[in-house]
Amino acid sequence: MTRRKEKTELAPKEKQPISGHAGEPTRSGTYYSPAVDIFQTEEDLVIVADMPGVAPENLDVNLEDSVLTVTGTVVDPDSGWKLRYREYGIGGYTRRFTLSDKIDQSGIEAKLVNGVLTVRLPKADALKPRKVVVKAA
Amino acid sequence: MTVLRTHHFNDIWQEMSRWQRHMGELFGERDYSKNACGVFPPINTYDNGESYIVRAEIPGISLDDLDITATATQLTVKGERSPDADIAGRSYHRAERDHGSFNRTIDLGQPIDPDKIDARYENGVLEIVLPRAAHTLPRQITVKN
Repeated sequence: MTRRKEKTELAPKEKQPISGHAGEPTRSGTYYSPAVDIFQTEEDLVIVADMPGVAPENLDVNLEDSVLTVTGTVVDPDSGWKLRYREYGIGGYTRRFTLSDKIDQSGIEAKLVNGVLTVRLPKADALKPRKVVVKAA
Repeated sequence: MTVLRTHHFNDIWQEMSRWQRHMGELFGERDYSKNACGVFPPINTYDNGESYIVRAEIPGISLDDLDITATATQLTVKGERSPDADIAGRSYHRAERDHGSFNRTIDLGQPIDPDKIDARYENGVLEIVLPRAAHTLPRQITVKN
């Protein structure tokens, strides 16, 4: 699959709060499901998630039994100010991914820049594509 | 404070759930966190009597792609979220994150001082502080006897 539309006008997507059907929430407060891109290269599986408002110290990336969970909490910065108009809700983000490929767990890297989380999961050596050479008979 | 609205009917389900909420509000179910009006980026606006704060969720843009202009009564935020440059060799399973340009104008309720605007971009949230023009601030009046 290639990347769709090049330069278009950005349309907003409303943040979708996590509801019961995504698993019962076990923490208080509102959590949203972040928009993600998932792609693979020959070397890695990469997950990119939009988590505006999450500071790097408030991010948790956890891999357990082939389930990757990313959770970011957001501190509401608005004490002392009167809300005049609101279009987006303030809350954390959480989303889980079941990994089908074997991942080299020691090599996982995560970085959070400008509210965008990138998790790079290197494929285990056994799963990297190998060139098959056809020998002439 | 008035916000100029343009509706894009990109996703009929999103639009329907928005209407459902609007109807719910009419009948007393209040969920005013859900005001999203169809223009990117979503903004929240605050007021402390002396300044306005406008916050917008715009994750993953570079500051070079952001252009903020203001007059005494209007604030315009323009920009573009660019796709990753190096996508060769990628095979996508999911692509939910949108890219493209945006241009949004907000009418401010009270005149502000455009020379004193302060903007910063942190963790994907743009924050613009707009001090109200001095002549619009309330003044204490002393009564002489």
